This record gives sequence, structure tokens and C-alpha cells, in this order.
Amino acid sequence: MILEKLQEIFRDILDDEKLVITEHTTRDDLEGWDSLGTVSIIAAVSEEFNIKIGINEIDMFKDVNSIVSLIKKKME
Amino acid sequence: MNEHFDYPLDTAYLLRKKRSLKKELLKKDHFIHKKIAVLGGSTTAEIKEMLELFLLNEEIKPQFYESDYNKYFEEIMFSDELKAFNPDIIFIHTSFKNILNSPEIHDDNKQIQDKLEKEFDHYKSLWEKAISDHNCIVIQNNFEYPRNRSLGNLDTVNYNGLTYFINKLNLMFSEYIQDNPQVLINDINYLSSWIGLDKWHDMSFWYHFKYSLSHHAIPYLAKNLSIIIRSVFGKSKKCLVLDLDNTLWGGIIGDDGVDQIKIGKETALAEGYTGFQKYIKELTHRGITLAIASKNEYENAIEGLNHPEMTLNKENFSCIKANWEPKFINIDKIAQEINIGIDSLVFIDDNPAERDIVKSQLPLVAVPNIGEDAAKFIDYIDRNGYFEPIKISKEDMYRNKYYEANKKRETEKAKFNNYNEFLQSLNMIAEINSFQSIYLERIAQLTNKTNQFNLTTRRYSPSEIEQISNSKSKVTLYGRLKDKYGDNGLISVVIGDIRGKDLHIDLWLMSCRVLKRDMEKAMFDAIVEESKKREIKKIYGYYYKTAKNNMVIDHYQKLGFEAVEEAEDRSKWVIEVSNVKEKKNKFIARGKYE
Repeated sequence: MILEKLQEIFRDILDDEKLVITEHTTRDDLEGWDSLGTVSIIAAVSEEFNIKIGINEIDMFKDVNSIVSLIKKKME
Repeated sequence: MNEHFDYPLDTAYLLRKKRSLKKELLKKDHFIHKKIAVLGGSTTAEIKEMLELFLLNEEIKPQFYESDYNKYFEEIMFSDELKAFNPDIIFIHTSFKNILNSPEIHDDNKQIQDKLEKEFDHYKSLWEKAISDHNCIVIQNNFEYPRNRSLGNLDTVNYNGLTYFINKLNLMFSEYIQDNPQVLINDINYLSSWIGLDKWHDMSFWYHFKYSLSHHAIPYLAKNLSIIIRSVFGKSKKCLVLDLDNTLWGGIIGDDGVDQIKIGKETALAEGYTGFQKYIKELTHRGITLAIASKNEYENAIEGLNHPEMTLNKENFSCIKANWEPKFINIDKIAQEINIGIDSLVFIDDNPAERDIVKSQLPLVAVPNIGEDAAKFIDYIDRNGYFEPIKISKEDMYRNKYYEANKKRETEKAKFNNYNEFLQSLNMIAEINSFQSIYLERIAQLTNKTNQFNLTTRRYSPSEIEQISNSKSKVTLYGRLKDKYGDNGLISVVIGDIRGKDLHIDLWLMSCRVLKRDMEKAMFDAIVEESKKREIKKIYGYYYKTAKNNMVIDHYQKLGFEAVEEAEDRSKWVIEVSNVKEKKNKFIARGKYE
């Protein structure tokens, strides 16, 4: 469920309707996932899951696996 | 117009769908192209991308120049690249975090005043350098309040407080700009208050990415900038078209009767509608034109407007359409009668079905979804910045008087057997001269907002107009026109470039306020007169087609010019000065005003 929503976010931000992400996807795998992309992803994740990303959590936005576990932790 | 860019903004959507929105917006045509330098005291990447969307939505296609992180000062002072870029607009995105001379708790009042001067001079030197190098518009953020105040409430009182310092500095900015119209304030002090400082600031965003505002606030910042930029390029709206029942007053006058409509101070709801009317009245005071498009019997509408508690009355409306025809037809007629472009209109109606029809039939009219809560109507006009002025001119304040006088002329016209008799009866006097310093600002304003009677649609800044007025190789003329009903103000401008024995007319425009009054003939006579004085043999005229200036396609032909080149979107015309034997204008006396 989280991964599906996250995939939608990535599709929107990178403007690629067919993009498929897995828990193994990292920043290096996706063109467009640059620093501005990261900012947009953080913004979208905060809004979509209604969570606040803390100062020490921003570094988690480097691969999908870390993002998913961060969201899980935040939503508990 | 894409509704995603209207208040209230869905910032999450805008940030997420940025790329697909951009693709969609780029499908439009009729873009005007502008060069915008975004110079930041903090990170600007996302701001630039969001601003691009908002500008594309306004049919302005920006080409950007972006400074390196926190290099706004160096760019303006030393950069050759910026010079080569030749910006139309420089946006200086600074925040309170860029204050170099912050107040310290042990500073005495004198030291604080020195720091304020120093800080102000830093910006003043930037603006002056930017304008002298690039002759462009500068948009400058003022300062938002900090998120935290170590002095608590005393921060705004004590001269050592940062809040006090920011308030002072913001006033110093405002006062300088009052006399320097090429600098414009992007009021982030207001904007951040509107959004709320809690939402405006995001400290972890700052520490990680050096954004001085949160991602949530960025679309609001971009929207505010786009409103200013739209106004700079003459794209602000000019006329507010209003529905009556449940929009201007509560209730339905045809069903409830005039005694039952909600207006005045009796109930909260009545006060809500009165509050809305008061806001609209303020708009009329600074020159916004009003009209009514209402499905009503005309008599009922007038009865409502004559209600003693009404803040707005019949005289405040330049055009009243109360009938049972579809509203888009009435709105189209309103635009024609007032003589303004359909894209200068904002339509306000509480009925979503009426709004949708107007939107679909007249896509150029702005139609905000105002909901049905009268207490909130104002926000949809105010927050969307439709009527944003760059500055308030005397002309703006009198504009509605001109329209009123025009209505009288229209009534008068019907009494004459032929049009010439009518023109004769107006006792028109025109003052036509070369540019004078007191009019330079009005002249620049006209070049930026006249779209219909405008042969080349060239836009000039006030300082460009000043340069032209001092140049010996230019012929400049302005025209003012008055008649027995009143003064129409300065309504026509001509700029010609002398090359050898030829005069090339770079600009010829006239306000639609004085269409069909033979003023263009009077201007032509003045051009010829000036040409003879300067021993010019041939006058060349140019017509560049735009979406709006079709009415002057045969302007030169009508004046007796011959075509030199004729293409679909442009034409070039010539007339020999010696062939002009007599004056074209027969009804306007040339004279001096006052």
C-alpha cells in the first residue's frame, strides 16, 4: 500500500506514467531523482502521508526501502 | 486559465504535478517572451520552476537566469553573464536570514540606526546598479518575520529586537520605492502572515537545502510574483462583472421583493454583503470599472440598486445588463460597450452553473469559484490579485469618470442626424506636443497596457521613454483630448525615429476611450507638421499584427499611406510629406489646456 502510493508520487514528480519502483530502487537508478527531485519527493511524501519529516530523517530519502520504513515508523 | 493556479492553491498538487502541468501549459499559443533573472540569497531552484508554471498560465513564457546559491549581490555588482542575459526583470529573493547587520542586545539606539542605514544601503546600491546596467524592473522581497523571538513580545518594541529592525527596514524599502517606480516590492511580510509563519518557515528544509521558506509556501510565493509580473506587462484585469442575487445582496429580488433582500447592517448576513460591496467600492476608487450581468427584470435590478442600504449604487456601474439572455452574451456585450478586451474581465457569480457556462463560452474571462459564503467572496478577488496595480496614477483614479462622460456622449450621439454633426457638437480641443517630463510615466503606462489601437505594440519602461524624449533623432508626440463633457486625459502617443530624410513610426497608440473621435487624424496632422519642421520627406508606418490589434489593420491605408510591404502578420506603409495637402482632422481644435 505504501509502496503503491510512493510509486504514484514518483510517477507524478518524474512525470513518467509507466515508472515502476521496488524496495530496491535507489537514487542512482532513476534519472531525475536529483537534489531538486529529492526536495519534491520529501514535500509530496509529507503531504500524502500527512507526516512531518525531521531534520535527521531527510537523509533517508536516498532509496525506496529507507523511505518506506521511515513512513511506516512515522505512521505507527 | 488553469484553475489549479487560482486561490485557494492546492500546493501539494502543484508541487507534485509540476512536470505534467508544464507540458500542458506549453500547448498554449500567444505567449509573450520575457527574460527573468532570479537572484537568491537562499536556494531558488524550486521557486524558479514553480514561477515558470504560474507565468506560463498567464501566457508569459519566461527565459530564466538563476544565480548561484546566495550570489545575488555579486551577480548584480560584477556579473558579465547577467549583463549579456539582458533581463526584463530581476527578482531579488532575499529573506531576513540575509540581513548582514543584525541588531545585537548590547547595541545602543545610535548603533541600531547605523545598522539600519547600512543594511538599507546594501539593497539600495543593488537596485541602482541593476537599473543603471539593465534598465529593467527590479522585484525585491521585503522581509518576513522570523520564526522565533528571543525577546518575546518585546522584540517588536525594543530597538534591539529583530522584529523592530525588520519593521523599520521594510518601511525604509517602501519609502524609497515610493519615488523609484522601477523597483517593486514582493510583500513576503504580508504573504507569510497570510499563510502563517508556522507554515511559512520549515527549519529542517533550511538546514538541509537552504530554502528560506517551506515547500508549502513556494507556490504562494510564485503566485504572488506572477501577479506582480502580470501587472508589469499590462495584463492586470480592468473590469469586474457582477451578478446581483446572492452575490451583491442576499436573496432573490424577483421572488423576495426589494424589502426582503439582505443588505445593510441588520443581520450578520446583510453585513457580509455590505462588506463585499465596500471592498468593491474601494476598487472603483482606484479605477476598476464595474458592470452587472444578472438574470433579472431590468426594473427589479434597478430597484435593488436603489435600496437605501446599498453601498454601491447605479452610478457606480458603467454597464448594467439585467435580462434573461445567457450571461456570456451579456458579458460579451459589456466588453464591447465599455470597449475593453474580454480578457480584462473578472466575472463574479455565486451560481456554479452560470460560472461554468461563462468559463466554457468565454475562456479568456477570469471566473473564480467563489463558493456561496458572502463572507469569503472578497478573498477570491483579493488573493487572486486580478487588479494588482504597479502604482496608482491620477489617470486610474479618474478612469471611471471618463467612462461616465462617455455614456453621456453615447446618449447625445443618438440625437444627431449624422456623425459629423455629433463630432462638431462636442467642441473638442486637443493638446498635442512633444513629450514633457510630467507625462513620461503616463506615456510609459500607456505603452504597456494599450493593446487594441496599437500599431506595433512596443512596450517601453519609464526610463526608456525618458531617453527617447531627450533624443534629437526621435519625433515624440502625446495627445490629450477634452470636450464639453470633460477631459479624456492623455490618450495618444506617437514615437518616430528619424533616419536621414525619413521618419519611421515605431509606436502609434491611442486609448479606446476616444475611438471614432478623429483624434488619430489630429495626431496625423501633428506628425506631418513636425515632419515639415524637420525637413522630413517620407513617413513610414508599420503594422504588427497581434491577437488584439485587428482594429488598426488598415489604419495607414485610411490615412492615405501606400503599402510598401504587405504580409499576413505585418505591413509597412509610406507617404510623401509633400503629397499631404490638407489637414485630415476637421473637428478638433488644436490648443493648450488649462
